[in-house]
Order: sequence, then C-alpha cells, then structure tokens
Amino acid sequence: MKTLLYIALLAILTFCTGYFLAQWWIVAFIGFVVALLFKQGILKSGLLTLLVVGLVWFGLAYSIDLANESILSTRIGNLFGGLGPITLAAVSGLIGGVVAMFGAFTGASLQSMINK
Amino acid sequence: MIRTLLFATITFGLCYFLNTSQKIGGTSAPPLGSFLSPFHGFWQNAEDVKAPQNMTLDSMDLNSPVEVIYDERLVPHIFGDDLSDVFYVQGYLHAKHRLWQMDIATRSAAGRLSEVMGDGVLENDLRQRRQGMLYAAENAKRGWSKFGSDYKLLLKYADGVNAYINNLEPKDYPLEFKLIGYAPEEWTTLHSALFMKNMAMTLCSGYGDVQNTNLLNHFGQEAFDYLFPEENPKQSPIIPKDVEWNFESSSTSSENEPNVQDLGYLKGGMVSDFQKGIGSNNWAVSGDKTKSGNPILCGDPHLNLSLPSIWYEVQLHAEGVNTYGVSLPGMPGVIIGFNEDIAWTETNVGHDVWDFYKMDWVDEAKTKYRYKGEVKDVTYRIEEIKIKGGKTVYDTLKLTELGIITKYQSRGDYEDLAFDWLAHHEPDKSELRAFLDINKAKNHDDFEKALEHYIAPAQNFAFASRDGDIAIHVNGSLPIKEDQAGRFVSDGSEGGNWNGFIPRSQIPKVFNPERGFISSANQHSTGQDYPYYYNSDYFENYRGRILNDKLATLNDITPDHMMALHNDATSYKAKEVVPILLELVDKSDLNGLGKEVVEALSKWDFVYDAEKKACSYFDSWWSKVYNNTFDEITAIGDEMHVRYPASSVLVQMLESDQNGKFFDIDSTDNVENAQLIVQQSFDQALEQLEQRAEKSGLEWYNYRKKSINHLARIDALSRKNIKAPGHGDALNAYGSTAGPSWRMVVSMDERVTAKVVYPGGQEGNPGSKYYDDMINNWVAGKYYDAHFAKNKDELDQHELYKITFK
Repeated sequence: MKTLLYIALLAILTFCTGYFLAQWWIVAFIGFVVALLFKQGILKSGLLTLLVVGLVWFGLAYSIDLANESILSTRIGNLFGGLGPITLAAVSGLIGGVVAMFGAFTGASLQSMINK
Repeated sequence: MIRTLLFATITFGLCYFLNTSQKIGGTSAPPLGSFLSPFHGFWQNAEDVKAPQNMTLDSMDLNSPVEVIYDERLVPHIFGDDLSDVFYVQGYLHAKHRLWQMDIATRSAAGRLSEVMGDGVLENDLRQRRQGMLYAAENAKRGWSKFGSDYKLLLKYADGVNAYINNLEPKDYPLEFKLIGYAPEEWTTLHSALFMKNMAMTLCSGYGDVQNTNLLNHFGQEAFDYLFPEENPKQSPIIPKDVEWNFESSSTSSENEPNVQDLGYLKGGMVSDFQKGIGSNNWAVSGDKTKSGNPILCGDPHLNLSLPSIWYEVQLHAEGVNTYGVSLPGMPGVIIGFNEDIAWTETNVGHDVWDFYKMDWVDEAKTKYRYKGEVKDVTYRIEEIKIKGGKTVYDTLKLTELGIITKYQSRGDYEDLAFDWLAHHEPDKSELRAFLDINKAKNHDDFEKALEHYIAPAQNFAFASRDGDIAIHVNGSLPIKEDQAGRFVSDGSEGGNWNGFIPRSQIPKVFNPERGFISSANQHSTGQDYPYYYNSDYFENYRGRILNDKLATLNDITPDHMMALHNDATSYKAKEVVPILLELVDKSDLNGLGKEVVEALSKWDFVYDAEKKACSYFDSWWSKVYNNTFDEITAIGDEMHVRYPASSVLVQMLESDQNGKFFDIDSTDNVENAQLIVQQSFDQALEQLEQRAEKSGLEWYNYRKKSINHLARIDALSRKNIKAPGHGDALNAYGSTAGPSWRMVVSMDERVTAKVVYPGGQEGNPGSKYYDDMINNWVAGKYYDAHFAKNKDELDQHELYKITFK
C-alpha cells in the first residue's frame, strides 16, 4: 500500500510540476522529497523513482510522438546520430529517471540518517 | 552523512551537467536535460498531426474581431473589418508559424548573432556592421516614421507579433531557440527594416567597381571591352527593342574617362561577391493569346531555397481590400499575388546601386576629405557587438558624404574607399505604401501610382488585370548617371555619381505591347537606345531569350501551358554550345566514357532532367572550357579582386572568334586556340567524370546535388539529395540550393483563380507536418488551387480550423 502511494504521489508530482514549472530538474527535488517522506530504504526508493519518473517521461514523450507520427523525433533522432523515435523517448525517460533517482537516493539517505 | 552528501553532490552535478550546453563532436549540443524533457524540450514542438479545435483568443488589441480560417495547407485566410487589425493578426500568425526565422534573419542582418552564439560568429557580425546593415535599417526606420499613418500600420503589425511572443512560455519556444539556447525578443519596426535590408542585400548589393578597375588596369580597354561587354547582341531585353522613348536624358555622355590609373591593385572584397544564380522569371500574356480570352500572369521568383521557406502564403480580407499571395515574415501585406481585379509579381532589376569612391584625404589620419571643393569632416558611428560569454566588442564606422569608409588592401598598404549604397539612404517614401496600394489596386492606373512609393531593391513589376491589360515596369529608385559612372571606382572629390533618380514617368515600362505578352528574367532592362545609362554585372543572358521565344510562339494558352513553362529545364547555353564542342573535339578513336559522352551529347535535347547523364557531361566539359579559357584572370585572382566574364561571352568567342587571344593558355609555350582548349577540356572532363562515376554516379541529380537547407544549415532539419530537374540557365532554375521559391499562375477571368506552389510549407516548425509538405509536389511540377474566397462561407469545404481574435 505504501509502495503504491509512493508510486502514485511520485507520478502525480512529476506530472504536475513538469506541466506547471519551467525547470526540468525539479524531478530531482521531487525524487528527494518523496523519498524523504516515505521510509522505503535507499535502494528501493531510488529504483522506484527511476522507474516511475522514467516511465512518466517516457510515456509522455511516446504519446506525443504517436500523435506527431514521429515527424520530429525522426529529425531529432538524426541530429543525435540516427536514434529511432522509441529510443529517443527511452533516452528522455532515462535522463528524467536517473536524475530523479539520485534525488531519491539523497532523500532516502537523509531520511535514514534522521531516523537513526 | 558522507553518503548523503555524496548522493547530493552527484544529484547537483548531474543536474548541472544536463543543464549546460556540451560540445559533441565539435558542435554545441543543447542542454540535454531541458531539451529531452517531454514537458519542456523538443517534444513540446512535436505537433499533433490532427488539426486543433477551433479557438478564440481574447485580449487582443483590435478595433473589431478578426477571424482566421486555415485551409488544408494551413494557409490562413484573415477576415477583418479594419486593415490595421488584419495586419495585427498577420503579425501574430507570422510569429506563430515563423518566429525563429524572423528572429534569425533580422539578428543576422543586424550583426547580432554573437549575442546568442558567442564569438565564433563575430566575423559575420563585424561584416554586417561594416556593410552598414544596422545603419541602413535605422535610417529606414527613421524615414518610415515620418509617414505617420503608414508607420502606424507597421507598429500594429509589430504589436501582433509581440502579442504572440508575450504569451509564450519557454516550453513553447520554437525548436531552434531551444537548440541554440536563447529566447525570443520583442519585435520592433527596426526588425521589419532589417528584414527589408536583408532583401536588399540579397537583390541589389552587386558591385563590380573594384574588380572592373583592376581588370581594366591589367588588360587594357580593348581586352576589357571584349571580356565585359555591356551589351549582348543576342539579348532579348525586358522592354522590347521596338519600344520608342519620347524623352531625353541630359546626363548621358560618352566622354567620361574612367578614373582608374593610380588606384593600384586591390585584393579581397569587403563583402562576399554577389551570389549568382539568384534571379527570377515573370510574365503575363494578353487575352489575345489565351484560350479563355483573358490575361494570365505568372510569377516565378528565384531565391535561396530554405526551410523554413522565405515566403508565407496568406489571404488578407478587410474593408476595401481582398488580396491573396505570399508575404514575407517580417512585413505586413502581400508582396506577390493578386486581388479580385489585378495580379502582380516581381523579378529583380539588378541595376548597379552600390558605388565605390576613392577619397581625397586631407590629413594622414584620414579624418578630413575634399568634396566638391570643400573640406569635410568624417563622422563616426560606434557599433557595439555584445558577445555571449565574452566582452563586448566595439567597432567604429567612418561616415562621409559618399557613404561608409571601408578598407581595401592594395599594393603594400591600405586604400580607404567610400561606398555608397542606395539601401543606406534614409527613404523619402514610406515604402510600405507601395504594397498597401498594390494590394487594393483595381486597375493599371492604381498600380502605376502605387509603384511610385517603391524604392529598393528595384524590381520588374509584372501586371495583369481582369479588364484585359498587361504591363511591366522596371521600377524603383534608378540613379541618373553619366555613361560608365559607377562601373569603376570613381573619384570622390568631385561628388557622387548619382544625379537624382529617373522620373517614374521615364522608367523603362511597357503597357499592352503589340506582341501580346510581357516578361522578364533579370536580363537587360532595355535596348541600348534607352536614354539613361545604367550598368550591372548581373544581367542574365539565357532565360529571358527562352521565355520570349516560347511566349512568342504560344497561342490559345491555358494555365497548363504556363505551368509547363515554369518547369521547363531547357538551356539555351547548352543548345548553342554543345554543337560547337562536338564539332571541335576529335571524335576518332573514342571509346569507353569518351564515346558515351559524345553520343549522349549528340542526342541531348538540352533539357536538364534529373536522370540524364548528358547534363552532367556538358556541365563538366563546359566548366573546364571556361576555366581553361580564362586562365589569365585566374592567374591574377590571388593578388587582386577580379570577376569573370559572363558565360555568354565565351559562347560568342566559340561562335565567332576561335583563334582569339584569350584561348591561348599563358603558362604554355604553345599558342592554343578554341579547338585545342575544347580538346584539352574534354580530356580533363573525362578524368573528372570517371572519378565522379565511382563516387556518386553521373545522373544529373547525383552529379549536382540539390538540397533545401535549414536556415541554420542543420542537415537533420534540411531536405538533402533532392531528385529534381533544373539548372540556373533554364527557366526551371533550380541549380543546387537556389531556385524557384514560389510558382504562381493567375487567370484573370471573371472570377480570378490561381494555381500555386512553393518548396516548403507554411509552418516553420520542423515538428509540424506542414514544415515541408509542398516540396514533393513542387519537384514534380504540381500545383495547388489557391482558395481565394470573396467571403468566409466560400471556405466551408476547405476549412481545417478557425481562430477568432477578439
């Protein structure tokens, strides 16, 4: 249940801040805050965050790409040495996920420090 | 504790790294974090291929609501009551679809690229400043602002652009802003002026003064006249030779000796040599020659082809005006198009309006100069160039009565020359008024009056009307000058070369000519009997002749004939030269490629089709003949600024002077003639062709690669290797990167209709399906029907979506 709540909160916050705020790196802060709020252990927090934020970013990129019929992702993929649309969406997801994951590592680590 | 700090450090480090530009393979990549974020980065520029819902935009600065109906090709049809409101919305839509193009074109013209790209582009900025581009735009703005009501329209247009910009979040910025890493800035009337100066630089910045002076000094008058004749006897000028001039010019004198003796050799131009291959065609046929009995007008401007395209198609409908055609993102109005009564289109005139002067300096520091018997002080203008991540650079321009002082290297030291360019002058007309009045003109009288407001770059304005008239005007501010004035570097102490401008009643023009058509293709404006002297290195020698020959023979003309003419890739140069080359080359013992070349050229119809190898064979052979013949000029090209003769001069030499002295190659002991040059060039061409065959194939489209490049030359956003017919000498003038930028065929029937196409799309956004959607049809010579509506209801079946501005 706690894990589900963790996932839901992370996903909602990632989506809302992404939509309303102009700073992409806010995902690091969200990863940090959510990990700080929930006592999940460092590794689990980090991996959950990687998965959830990564999927939100990938999912949004992918849905945009579907609606765009890959017109732009094909062009940008060529700019990045010939990446395909899905790969490009995956790379995007990975970047968001990894940055958020390190935020979560920091948050979870701080949380375990406080709880000691 | 340490672990937490370590994670925090990695997190911050990662964010910092992904939030800054990185060099990847020598090129600067955008910050990957923001660029790849689907909430902020490039993904946000990927437009849904489905049309958006109709929308209403409130809080616009309008007198009354304006409705925009987009048709299937995303052409907006703007319906409003008030023209200023319509221009406001036109500005808004230009920005909505072409904002980065508008920014980069004006930023580049202003010499402000370093501000956003760093010192790597400083040289480019310095060149623009020293050419006086910003100076010229500021002068234009000052001049325009003196025409209050017209200037208000320009301000209203700028307000529309800014209404769009002000509502943008960073995530909405056009893709290129994200790639380069900067933000759009407020649009002003200075930006519009810069845009127009960019056009002037493209179209009327040609000068040959320094090159001609060098060549005349080096070769002497006789050889110079032989290589650079001012007349081509084969030429078919824009105004037919049988037109009589019922006035005289007081300024034409043939006794004016060029003052070039003591100038010395000059090396290196301040500006790049004028780009050849930018030219255009236009024509109109009278009702006597058409099947419908009504005139047909055809527009075919050739420019550098780019993505986004230079043109933006639009219909403007307001009280007293209903016009359709192409606009320039940066200016209100329609530049080439038609309305319910008339149609018009332009080609470039190309008369020389850029003159160099040798100054008579009083002091060593060159701060004072003699001018018309007086001593004058140089004035100064400081150019401030901001540099991203660096210190601001300051550059000083010296201004004189004869323009900006520039440095031209001469033998051993520097020679400061002044250069006077028409586009630097403060305009004494609003300029915008020309197009405003053309857009609403009802007949030739209205049109002719509107033309008086037009200054530069001078254009051949072709005209046709529903009441059956056709006309062409070589229109703009055309300087009155003495014979040969402006052709060479002039003596600045005696004043300038220009003695006012030719009165508009005396500019070259023709109205309803007997031959039943008017046309232009950048050739000489008139025959030699025109009372005023004009000069240019720009005049074209083939397209105009093809066009006039074809139009003379065509009758019962339909729009299909005209579209075929747009796409005609026949070359008169090839037609004239190939038989001579084949006659002169030794055809015995030919085998392999040599045999194939001769056979292919013997059968060639002189049409530059994409698949034909004969085009490549001729191109290769001809360029060798040309280079081998004019080796004398190449030999001095390293030490001085030169130019090369028109190819038509070499054609004439091959036709009638095969033992002429320029066929001799200076570096050999033999005395070569045309036959030897042709043979030697043939052998060299075979060698080149064999190499090319291995590399890429010899079909024309493989031999001469054609592309439509993105404005920032980003390959991934360009269309490369386009398999298209065409050559710069043909009516279908698609050479390699320049060519037909807008094709338009307008039938002046009871209800005016038009077929149109251009090589691009309405959207400047590479993430839109409208970015390059018309290119394939353009290559194939196919057209679209322009949905020219008299009212909104007529667009019902073509409506894609609607925006209401309130």
